[in-house]
Amino acid sequence: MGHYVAAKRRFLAHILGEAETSLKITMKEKYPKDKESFQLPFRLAKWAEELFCDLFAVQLVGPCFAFAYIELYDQLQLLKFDGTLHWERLKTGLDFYPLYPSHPFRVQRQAVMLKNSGWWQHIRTMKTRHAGLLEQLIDISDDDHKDANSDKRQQVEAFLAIVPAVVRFLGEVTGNLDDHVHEFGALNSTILEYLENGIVPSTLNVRIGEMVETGVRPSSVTLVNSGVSFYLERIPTLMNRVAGATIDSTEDRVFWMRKVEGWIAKALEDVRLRKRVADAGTNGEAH
Amino acid sequence: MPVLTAKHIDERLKLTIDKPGSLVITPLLEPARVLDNDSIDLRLGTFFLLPQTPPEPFLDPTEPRAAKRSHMRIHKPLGDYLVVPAHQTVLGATLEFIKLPNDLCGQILTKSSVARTFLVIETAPWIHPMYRGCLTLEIANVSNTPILLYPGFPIGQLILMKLDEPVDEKQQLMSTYVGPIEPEAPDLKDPKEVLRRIGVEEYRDPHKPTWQRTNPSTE
Repeated sequence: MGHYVAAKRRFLAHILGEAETSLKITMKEKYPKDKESFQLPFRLAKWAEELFCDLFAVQLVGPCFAFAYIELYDQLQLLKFDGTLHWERLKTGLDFYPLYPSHPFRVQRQAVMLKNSGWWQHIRTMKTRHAGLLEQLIDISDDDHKDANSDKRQQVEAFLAIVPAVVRFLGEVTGNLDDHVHEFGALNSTILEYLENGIVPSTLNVRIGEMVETGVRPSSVTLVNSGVSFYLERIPTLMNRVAGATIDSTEDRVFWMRKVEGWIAKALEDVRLRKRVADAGTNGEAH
Repeated sequence: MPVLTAKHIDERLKLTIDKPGSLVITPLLEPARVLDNDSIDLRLGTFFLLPQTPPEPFLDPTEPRAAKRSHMRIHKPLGDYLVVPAHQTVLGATLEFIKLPNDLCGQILTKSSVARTFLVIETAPWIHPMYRGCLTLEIANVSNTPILLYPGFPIGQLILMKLDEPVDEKQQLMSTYVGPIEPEAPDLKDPKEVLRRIGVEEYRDPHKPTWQRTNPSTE
């Protein structure tokens, strides 16, 4: 989806000029004058597009994207068992690919963006290595990235200089998009309670002090982030409530993870269904 | 066993889930239409299990994968339809996810307008207290004409009844089919184990020529 938006908003055309200028400033007289003079800015622009897509996804759906990224690219290997960074592995992992920045760089930039958002207060309280990795990666310096890319040091340096331009472009694209942090803060504990009780959380009755607000409908963003938070932290709590489920059994854990995934998927389907009803103008849901 | 009226159903739907009597039915679309005086209309969901002819000429409960192999899972989005041929069956599920409290049980019945097309939606209609999940529907077209099923269409009605006394809360999440969101293939029990428990010593295995011991260690 990020690539679609990037293409629609002509991101490459926008960033290519920035990349070229940045390369010329960084490389000075070493800036190539042959056909490579086109290839280098293009490489930087492709790195920038990947970064834009990551940050666009985080802006759109919140930290669940970063957590899924960490899982998909097995980035937890960058942490030692005590939760500190495994520097030896990190150094080899920081090497940029021809068309992509390194995975730790991409996770780091997602973490930086989350730290500057309302999501961070929730991430910091999570008892999971995924959240720990985000916190740890923030401290990696630009020099660490440059040092790990000695063969293309100046390209990485030039790229780091255009990162603010990528963030600015993202701001122009997303504008005042609701990040749903406030809603997440208000509904997350109730959604987790529903999931712990094996209930699809598409319609909630929420306690607010002594009052109860009935028929609350969480948004897709809140549902997905609560679902991921539950997956990362609370599967054992759920399994403790199930007769015969063994927490140490991989098979049992996978079974219950899939159940939770199914309940969230069902809730998302319900959200879509409600939108249809609302669009149809009939008397939607009262409960 | 009193049947719950719309007023009491509505009251229970408004309780938070930590309250013992809380009832969840979600998504409850068009409540003014679906909530009747003594029942709630439930809609047809979008997933189905179509029966498939098994490799053997029978459904063999001693074969662990028999139930899964005997069905093909398909999805029909809202707006699309599924054809149920004459005298054929299909497993479907309600669109609504239900969580019953520990003092209510329920029964799902075919809506009369649907029943008059000779479509039967449920042959195991009883819902136990503390149940949670979408209800699996054993849909059978007993007419001589193919019938179209539209997901999202009201197909059954749920009647809720109050128990004489609540069941133990600890029973939650103990059912065989936990929190299903689509129809699930049957969880077939190995007959050998069940028969052994009631003192039957020998049984016929369809894949073996001779009778088998229910307890092999006694051979």
